[in-house]
Amino acid sequence: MAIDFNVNGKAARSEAPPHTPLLWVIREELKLTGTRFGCGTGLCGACMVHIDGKRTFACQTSVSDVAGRAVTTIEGLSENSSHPVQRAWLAERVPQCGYCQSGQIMSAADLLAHNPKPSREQIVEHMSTNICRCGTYPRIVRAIERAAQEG
Amino acid sequence: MTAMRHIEINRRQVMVGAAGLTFALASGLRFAQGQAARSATLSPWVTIATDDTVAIMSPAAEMGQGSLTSLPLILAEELDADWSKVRVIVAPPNDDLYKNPSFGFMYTAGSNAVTSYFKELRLFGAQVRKVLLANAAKHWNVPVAELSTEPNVVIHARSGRRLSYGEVAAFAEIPAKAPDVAEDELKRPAAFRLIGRDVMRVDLPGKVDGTAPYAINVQVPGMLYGAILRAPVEGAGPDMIDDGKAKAIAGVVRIVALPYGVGVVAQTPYAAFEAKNALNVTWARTGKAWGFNSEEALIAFAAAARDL
Repeated sequence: MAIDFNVNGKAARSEAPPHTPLLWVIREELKLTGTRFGCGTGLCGACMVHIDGKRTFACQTSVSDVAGRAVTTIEGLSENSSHPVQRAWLAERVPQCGYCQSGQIMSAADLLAHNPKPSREQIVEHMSTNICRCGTYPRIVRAIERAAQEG
Repeated sequence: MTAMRHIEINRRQVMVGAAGLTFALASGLRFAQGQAARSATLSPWVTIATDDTVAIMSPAAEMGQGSLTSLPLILAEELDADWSKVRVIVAPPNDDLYKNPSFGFMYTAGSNAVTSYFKELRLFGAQVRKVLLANAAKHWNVPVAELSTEPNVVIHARSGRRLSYGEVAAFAEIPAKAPDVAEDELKRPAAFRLIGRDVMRVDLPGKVDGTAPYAINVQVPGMLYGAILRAPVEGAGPDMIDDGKAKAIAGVVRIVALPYGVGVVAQTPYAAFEAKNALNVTWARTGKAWGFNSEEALIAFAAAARDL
């Protein structure tokens, strides 16, 4: 019944009902609260994580779907916020309230992993999965451009 | 642990009922830490540790506007603290000590935290600096007028002697009453070392690595989770509740009828949401908006607009 998977390089196991969204397993069982609950319906992107290196809405992914797979959350993206996206996020002072920013960063990291030199249009298109109620979008775009440049 | 300690200090602050400098606060801190003095609580706003760390209370809620940085920075400016050694602490709820001067209680709204707290925080910082200077003067047996400060250091230029704030804190005697500070004793803006400079916001690293605390992260032992299915129209409430499916979901503790909807209490957030979605509710058709159709209304408004 237990589901075995990997989170941030470590073995994880959940006894939750198989259809339980990965989001709640990450937050409530694994206590990794950097991944946020926003809408619960795959519209806002606050819950974005990487599964086998590809961004995914954790609220739309059943825990049974990640059996045997590797999940990366904001906590596992880098040591000491050393990922180029995180460094750019600090340099551009992107966050305001910050609630959505884990998801924004995970989406941005996914973009640069697959497209290291995106155009502005590609950035805007890719990041359209993530909503920021504070409206930090201009700084998000600047930070991604900076991360792409500084690598 | 940190939060508990501050609540403990806070009770003592209430006991002495002073916003100024008190011995009671310092002994309170020692008592709470259960060890010999490692730091001097110089006011309800500032604690200086012997390792030179300067802990400063921040009295406003951080919502992304930067108050967690800007307010302690104002105090640090007049204290002449080394910003790299400042640790910001979210002030505990205590209106007597930390009230927003514009409102008379702890309230963060209206984009006014900096303008409202500005004068007081400068005064509090200057008072703590004066206490440090007085203690250093006594220690060296020199007139206080011969002393000056650089960030986190008291200096006696004539003899070339220096004491870090942490060193002074180790022997500081704290007066029962906060020293008076005249307006012209405050720094002139040209002498500011922190105000007006680009300083990294204290809250940002946690918002980039996921560790920033939010209310949804709070967990206490035995905590239950709630979700509310709200009536589709304001002013309406449940008429009949079929909660058979909802109750069958593992972890659901209770279904609660509310005047404006139906509440679910469960052992996990997801069970609460799942049960909420499994409710079958017939709503009393009260409330003015029943029957309102936004698509039809849009067409009607568009037609009316063409006639203008």
